[in-house]
Amino acid sequence: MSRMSIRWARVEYQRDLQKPGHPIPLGVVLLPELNDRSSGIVLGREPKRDAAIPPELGYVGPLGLSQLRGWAPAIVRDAQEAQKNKIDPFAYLAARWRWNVYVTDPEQIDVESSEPLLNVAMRLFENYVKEPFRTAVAGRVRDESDRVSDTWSPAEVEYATQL
Amino acid sequence: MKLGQLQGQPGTVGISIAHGGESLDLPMLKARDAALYGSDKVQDAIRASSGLLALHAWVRNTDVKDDHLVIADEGGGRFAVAGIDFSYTLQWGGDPGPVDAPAPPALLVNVDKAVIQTAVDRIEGMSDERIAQIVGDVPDDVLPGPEKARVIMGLQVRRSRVREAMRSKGWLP
Repeated sequence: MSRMSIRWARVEYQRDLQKPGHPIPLGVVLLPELNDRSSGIVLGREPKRDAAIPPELGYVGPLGLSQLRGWAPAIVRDAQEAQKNKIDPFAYLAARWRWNVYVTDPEQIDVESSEPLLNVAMRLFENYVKEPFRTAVAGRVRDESDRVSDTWSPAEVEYATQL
Repeated sequence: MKLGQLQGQPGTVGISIAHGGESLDLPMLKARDAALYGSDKVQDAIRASSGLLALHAWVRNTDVKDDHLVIADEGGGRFAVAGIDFSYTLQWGGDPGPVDAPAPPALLVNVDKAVIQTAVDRIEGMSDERIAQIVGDVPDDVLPGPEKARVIMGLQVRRSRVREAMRSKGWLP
């Protein structure tokens, strides 16, 4: 079995930049390095629209909310832009996402080459957020409890683009 | 930005201070929430920071861009915009040179002439002694003695040229 390394990073939320506390985990970004295509996956959670703010976030003002809502597709767009321009995507993400919602320095994980990226991402998400990833994709909902949250929406974006 | 000492780190270090509890740069806000960016409250905050144009001119900031404008929530539905990253400033030779007026695009379309007038008045009202004191307080390992003399002289000479630079742009009432 061959193995491959994948770089990944956490996405965190710090509600008060002037009095930083324990960061609130939002999700993970995985960006495998492949020669012929750019690919990646982001799994996370964001506050539900038209619902109460998740209590663990505390007070969230308009500037915080502007960063929290839709962060996953926005990070994917930025990662794709960096990959297209042959820039280190994690350096690019760290430079752009550096406010209340930010991307940490990347780490490396060794996995079996045959393991689906989604499985790796779900494992990392669960280890980090301390709860299983509640999928947004209807066909993959295991049971009703899998996607029940009054305040969080799952965020899931996976892509592969030929360079 | 505060200058100070950090355990395990030789010399003086600069420590960046967050502008607000919730804060981000203007291009990021525009990308993340265009409606909020275009709102009167945010545009008013940008306009209220017009005085930065006079400051950029005075200190000869050559790295002026929207990414260096950050916005914070002041509470009560008010926002405040601040300028960050003044790494590329105060660079002039023996002759402090002409004063031009670089402007980040977000400020260029939001000029408040009265705010600029106030900023120019404050710059012109700063005494030679006060400028020398502020620059003199910078630790020598950040700004050695001869450099201090150059910066002090430059700020003193350029101070009286800011008004004309603003006027030439049509930024004064």
